[in-house]
Amino acid sequence: MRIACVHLPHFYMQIESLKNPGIGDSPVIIGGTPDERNNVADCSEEAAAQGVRPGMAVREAYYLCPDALFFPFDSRTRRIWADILFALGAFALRIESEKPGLAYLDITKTSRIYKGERAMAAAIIREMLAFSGLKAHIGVGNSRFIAKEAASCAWDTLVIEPGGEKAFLALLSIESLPLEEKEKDHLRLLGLSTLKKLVPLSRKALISQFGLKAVALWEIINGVDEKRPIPRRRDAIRLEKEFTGEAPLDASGDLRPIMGAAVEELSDELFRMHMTCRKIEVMLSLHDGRLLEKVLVMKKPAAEAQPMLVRLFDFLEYLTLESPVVSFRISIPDPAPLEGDQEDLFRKRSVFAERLEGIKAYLDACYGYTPLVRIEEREEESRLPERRYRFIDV
Amino acid sequence: MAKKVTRYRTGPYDPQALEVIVRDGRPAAVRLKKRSLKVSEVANTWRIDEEWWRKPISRLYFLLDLENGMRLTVFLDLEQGGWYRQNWV
Repeated sequence: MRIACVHLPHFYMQIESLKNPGIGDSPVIIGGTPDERNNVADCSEEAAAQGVRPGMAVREAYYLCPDALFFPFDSRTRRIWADILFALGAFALRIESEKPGLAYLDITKTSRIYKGERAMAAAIIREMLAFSGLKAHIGVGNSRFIAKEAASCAWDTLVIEPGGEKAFLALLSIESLPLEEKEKDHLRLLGLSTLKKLVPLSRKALISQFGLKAVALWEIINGVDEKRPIPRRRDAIRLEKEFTGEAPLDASGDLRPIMGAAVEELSDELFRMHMTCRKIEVMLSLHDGRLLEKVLVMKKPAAEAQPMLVRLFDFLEYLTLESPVVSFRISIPDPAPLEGDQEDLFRKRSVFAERLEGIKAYLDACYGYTPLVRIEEREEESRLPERRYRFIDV
Repeated sequence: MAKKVTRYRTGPYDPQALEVIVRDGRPAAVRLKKRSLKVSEVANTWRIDEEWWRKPISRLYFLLDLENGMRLTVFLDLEQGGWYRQNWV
C-alpha cells in the first residue's frame, strides 16, 4: 500500500493569516483571549519559539508570549477542512482525516494516472494552493507513519521509495514515535534515543521490554506495510434549510412554527434518501449582527421530524436571546444510512411474533437457515460465564 | 398436536477443551487450529471456587496475550484436571 500524507502545517494559523494579511511576522496565538479559559488551538512559529504549544492554556501562553496577537478559534475552519477533504477526493477514493490539517490518501492505484508519485504530490500541492490558498507538504511512503514523517520533513514533497524506509527512519529521533512519554523515557534510559539504534533490535527483544505494544512499534520502525486500510470516503452529504424573514422573529414564539416547517421538509428529504439524522446544526443570525451557532447531537439517529423537533425546541427553550432572529439555517451534516436501525423492532409486543416470523423467513431465504437464537438469562450473578446465559433455537 | 421440543445450543461461553503447554505452573503456549502459539504475557489470573455443597467447581483462570496479538481466556479445571478455553463477558 502506498500512502500520501497531506500535511497543512499550522492549519488554523494559515487560515487566520489569509483572513488577516496584516499579521506579518508578529507572534500569533489562536484559541481565544488570555482572560478566557480556553486552550491554544494553534500558534505561529514566532510564538512557538517562545515556548507556546498547541493544547496548553491560553493564559499560560500569554505569560510565555505576552506580545502575541490573540485570535478566537473560528469553528468555520472545520467546514474549510471538510471542503479540502472533498477537493482531495479528486486524487484518491480512500481518504482518512486524522485531524484538521492532516489527511492520508491511499494512492496505490491512483498514482498511475499521473507520471509517478512525485508528479501526483506536486499536483496535490498545486490544487491545495489554488483551492484554498493554503501551503501543503506531501510525504509518500509505505505506511501512515512513514508518510507523516516524510511530510513533516519535506520542504514541499518527499517520496520514500519502497526499500528506502529503513534508511529514512534511521534519521529520525524517538520523539516522533507514537508512544507515551513514560515509554519514551524507558527508551532513553536504555540509551535508545534515535530510531537508528532501535532498528537493529529484534521483535522479541522489544516485546520483552514493552509487551504486546512492541509488535506495532517494531512494524513502525521497520517500515512494515500497514494492514489497516484507509476507508473509502463517502461523499459528504449535507441537507440544509435557510429562512430569512421579512420582520425579525421572536425566539420564544414566532420562530418555532417556521423552524417546525423547515424540519418537516428536511425529514421528508431524509426519508426520500433513506437516511437518518445524527446531529443538527443550527445557525441563528440576530438583529444586532451577531451569529449564534450550535450543534445538537441526537440521542439516536432519526429520520422523523418529531425527535428532531424535540431536540431543537429543547435547545430553544433554554435560549435567552438579547436580540430577535433575522434569519436561521438548519443543517443536517453527514446523515447516516437508514439501514441497521432496528430500534423499534421489538417495541410493541402485539407485532413481535409477526415481525420475528418475517425476520426468520428473510434470514432463511438469505442464508438457507435461521441464524437466530434466543438468549435466556439464567444466573445473572454467576461468576461462571456459561451459567449466565442459555442459547435456545427459535 | 406435536409437542414443541426446546433445543438448547452450545453458547459462546461454554468451555472448550484446549491443549496448553505449561511451564512453571503457568501457560507457556497454546495449541489453536493445529498451530502452536506462544504466550507473550499472562495479563490476569483469578480463581473461582463454587458449589462445594453440590458438585464442586474449582477453576484457575488465566487471561493470556498470545504472540500473534490475540487475547484468550483459559482455565485449568482443578477438580477434574484439563485445560479449557472460554470467552469471558
